[in-house]
Amino acid sequence: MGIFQNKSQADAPPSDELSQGMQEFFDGYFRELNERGRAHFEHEMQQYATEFKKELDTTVARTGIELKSYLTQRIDEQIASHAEVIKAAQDDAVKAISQNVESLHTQYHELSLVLEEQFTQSANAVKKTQSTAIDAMHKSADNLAEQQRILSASLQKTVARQDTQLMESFEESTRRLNEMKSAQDEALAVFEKNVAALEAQQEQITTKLQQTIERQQSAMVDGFENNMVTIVEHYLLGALGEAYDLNAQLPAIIKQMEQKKDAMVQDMTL
Amino acid sequence: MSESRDYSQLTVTFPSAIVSRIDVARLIQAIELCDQRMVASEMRRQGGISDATQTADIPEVVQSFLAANQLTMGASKERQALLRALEQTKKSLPVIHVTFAAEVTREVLEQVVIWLRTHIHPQAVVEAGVQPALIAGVYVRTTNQVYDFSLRGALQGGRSILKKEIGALRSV
Repeated sequence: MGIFQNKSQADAPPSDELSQGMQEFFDGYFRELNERGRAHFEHEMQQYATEFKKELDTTVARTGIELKSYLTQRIDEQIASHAEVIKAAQDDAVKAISQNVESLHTQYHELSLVLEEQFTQSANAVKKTQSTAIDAMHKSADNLAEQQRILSASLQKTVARQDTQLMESFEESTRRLNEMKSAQDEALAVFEKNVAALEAQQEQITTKLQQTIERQQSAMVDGFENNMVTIVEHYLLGALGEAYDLNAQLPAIIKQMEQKKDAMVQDMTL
Repeated sequence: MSESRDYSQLTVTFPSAIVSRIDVARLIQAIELCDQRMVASEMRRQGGISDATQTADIPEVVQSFLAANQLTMGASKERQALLRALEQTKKSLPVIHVTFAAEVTREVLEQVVIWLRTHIHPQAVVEAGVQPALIAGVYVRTTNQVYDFSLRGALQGGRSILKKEIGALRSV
């Protein structure tokens, strides 16, 4: 494409120009026809719609009136039929209630008879039971009297036995009390001995305590003296510190070594 | 050095300059060095090369040692025997530890060593130490014993007397 893209096209032939003009003419004609048809169609449609609306309104109004009259008639009929049905039902109910009332009266009478009979039977049974119970109570009272007599005899025996036991127990207690008293006397004697021993021990402790205190005092004094000696030594050593010349010391050192010479020789020759 | 001398029976005497075991070790080292030099000199002489090694090249400590023991630097075999005898002596040297109160001078140390070798043991060597707490005097330790010749020891010895004096002062 490149080099020839700006090259002008060759002029179209005359037949093509004619067909193009016709094409444009027909296009405009068809467009106009289309617009006119559409306007006409819209006008007709509007007219039909207006007429249809009027007819529809008329039909709706008429239908409403007819429907209203029909419904009113139907409702009246229904109400009348319901009233009849209700009346019939009321009649049936009243009839049934009256029948029930009668049957209830009958049942009431029957029940009254049954209850009276049962009351009579119950009264007889109660009387019988009461007499039986009174007989039983009499028997029980007799039994109780017998038991009381037996218990009384037994109680007398028990009291006598307990009296004997009490006497024995009293004698035993007296004996024990005497023993306790003698034991208490012995304990008192031991206690007095212990007190004496404690007093002696206390005296010994006091003596030992005094001795300990004296010993501690002596030790403290010794400690004080030792400390004082250390202090004096320290002071003395500090004072003498660097005053000595080793050359000057040499004769003294040799003199001291002379004194230990034999021991040193003996040790070195071992 | 006579050739008939028996070095295994030699009792070595050390000069005062040899104080410690280290000095003995140095002496042995110096004799070994002299021996090596003399061997080299002898070999050079045998090879006809002139050698300037003289007796004056022997260190003073070795010379004093030889003089003290009436020895000379003889043949190589004898020097080796001497070295063996010295090594043997070094192993059994009696060491005395002497602690001084201050730094000790060589002269003082030598005087102490002379005294020890004269009175205690002829081959005694000294290991010197310093302990300022002694203040004055010395502290001597032999093989099994300790001898406190210091001022501090003397003060501790007189402690009971001082204590008595303080007690007397307190009672007054």
